Amino acid sequence: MRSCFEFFDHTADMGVRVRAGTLPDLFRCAGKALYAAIGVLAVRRDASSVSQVSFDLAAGDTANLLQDYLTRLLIVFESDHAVVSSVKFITLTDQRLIAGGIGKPLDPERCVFHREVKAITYHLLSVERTADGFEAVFILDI
Amino acid sequence: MSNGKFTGPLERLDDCRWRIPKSYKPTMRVDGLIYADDELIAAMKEDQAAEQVANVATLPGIVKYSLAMPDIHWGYGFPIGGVAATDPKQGGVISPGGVGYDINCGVRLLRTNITWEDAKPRLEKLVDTMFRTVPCGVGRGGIIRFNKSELVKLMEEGSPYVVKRGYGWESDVEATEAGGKIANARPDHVTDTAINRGKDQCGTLGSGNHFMEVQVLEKIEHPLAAKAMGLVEGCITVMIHSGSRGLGYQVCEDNLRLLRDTPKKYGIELPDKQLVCAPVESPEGHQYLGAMRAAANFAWANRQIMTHLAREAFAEVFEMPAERLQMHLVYDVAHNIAKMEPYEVDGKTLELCVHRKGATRAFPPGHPELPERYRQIGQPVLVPGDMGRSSWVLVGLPGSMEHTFGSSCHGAGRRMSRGAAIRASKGRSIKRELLDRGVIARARGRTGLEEEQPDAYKDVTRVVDVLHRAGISQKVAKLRPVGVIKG
Repeated sequence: MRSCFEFFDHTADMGVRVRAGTLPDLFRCAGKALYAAIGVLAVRRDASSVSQVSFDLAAGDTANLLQDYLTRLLIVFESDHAVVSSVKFITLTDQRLIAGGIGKPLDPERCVFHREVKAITYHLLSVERTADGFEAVFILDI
Repeated sequence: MSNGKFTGPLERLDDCRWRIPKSYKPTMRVDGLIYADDELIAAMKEDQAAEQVANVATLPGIVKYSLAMPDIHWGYGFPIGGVAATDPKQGGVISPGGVGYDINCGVRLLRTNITWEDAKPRLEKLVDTMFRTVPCGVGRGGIIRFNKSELVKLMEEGSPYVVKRGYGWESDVEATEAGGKIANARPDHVTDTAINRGKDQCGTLGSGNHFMEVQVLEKIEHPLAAKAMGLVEGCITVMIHSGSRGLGYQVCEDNLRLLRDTPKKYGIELPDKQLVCAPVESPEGHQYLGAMRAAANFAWANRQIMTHLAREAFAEVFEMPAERLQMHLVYDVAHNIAKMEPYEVDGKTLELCVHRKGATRAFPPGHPELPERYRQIGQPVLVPGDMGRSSWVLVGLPGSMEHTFGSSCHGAGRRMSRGAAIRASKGRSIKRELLDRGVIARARGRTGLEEEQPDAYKDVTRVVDVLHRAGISQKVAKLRPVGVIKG
């Protein structure tokens, strides 16, 4: 199956291009790309350790909204050592995002880490409508 | 901005300098000036780094030039290897993108009295002990934990705070840029999110291009300076490259978000969102500078704790205290920072906001900010190369004050993207290749050694030679890697 994202070269960092038919799928796929850049991430198997993660974000445009969303995922990853899955978008417009997901703690012993992502930069950041839906581009600072 | 080749004008000024005239773009306020030789400039044309030099030249209040060192490569907003000084009295701005996410990423160097002959039989054990002792890689928390009030103190006081708590020697503080503490830090400008992100990361190496390296001093080119630094041929040195970890990344992120609409407020037109900025003398500028200084102090404390951990590893392997191994700190320099510094411009002394994004301070002999022992020789400039070839110790020269706002290069600079480096590693073992070159490498991440392989970098000797010839910094000693740990 074709992946919804691809990495492209950017000298010291990593470029990411994401394509999806809908805006929620674009955001979900961008999250997958972020995690894939960090590594092959495994979570703990015990259900008792999961937590709810809520998102309530506002931004001037969709590109900044995506940057905010991905940054929130990165903060949860670094601060709580957890990945967010099963994200349900309650509101997702060009300037507003309300959503909830499940934070699952990492199982470091089963993870294969590639690299640390410092940030989702604003450089080349874009979200565009395409004939098939949406395309986003962003650069990860490594 | 495309991600293709640079097709703008590059005029040769001499064998070390190239100019992008401000006529290239109507919004450029000053010329771009790039230090490079023919080979480095040819490589630089392959991406958009020079375009970024031109973009930085559009910042309000920029003085003289938008500068780039020979290790320049394509970054985000500013190029890596960029230097820009702005004059607050002329509406000069501060841009978090001119510092980068890894605030006060920097390098420190320790010397020892251990000779290569003595170290060689214990090298593998030493590298393994360092790898076990120094937390590195994704998700690895520090051994030494600080609560929030301690972190606030640490952000105010920098490396002297952790030295007072037993993680270092008094002499380390003097051998650190700014004494390991930049004044006017405002931990109250740092968000809880940033504190939370960095709460268990002080004393950790991180990942990417960060490393701790065991080296052999191969060649001395400036005996007087080497003597002042305690460096002798054949001695073992330790180089540490890391920054402010998650706390610093989040300080940058938080402030970029705060500044999103600021350019519009102050009527500033920008060619790249990542260049968002505010006048230095504005509430937004003060907010960022206070938080950035707090993160910079965190970074100095971070490298200080890793110094302590390196000394512990050496003491264990060589079975004697680090004091007897004379593991003195030669120097510690920041290479991602913005500082207020005085410079003479057109016969007037101006207090400028100097952004160094992948560039190292390089003050010349006699500069009042230098510790007494370096006053005669100039500030040590530490320039890591790559894992397989060499690194350099330099000293600043008077030319740096005249031409580059007291700045020199910060490394070799990448010539290959991470993706290209991984593709070039297919079917090879970089670890094995390094061993064949006499370098024992340990890395936590699966792709760390591939992405950071020697071929991914320019030849650091070529880079430092340009600045040596240009009278910006002078070569002192060449260091050869023999062991490296990475995240």
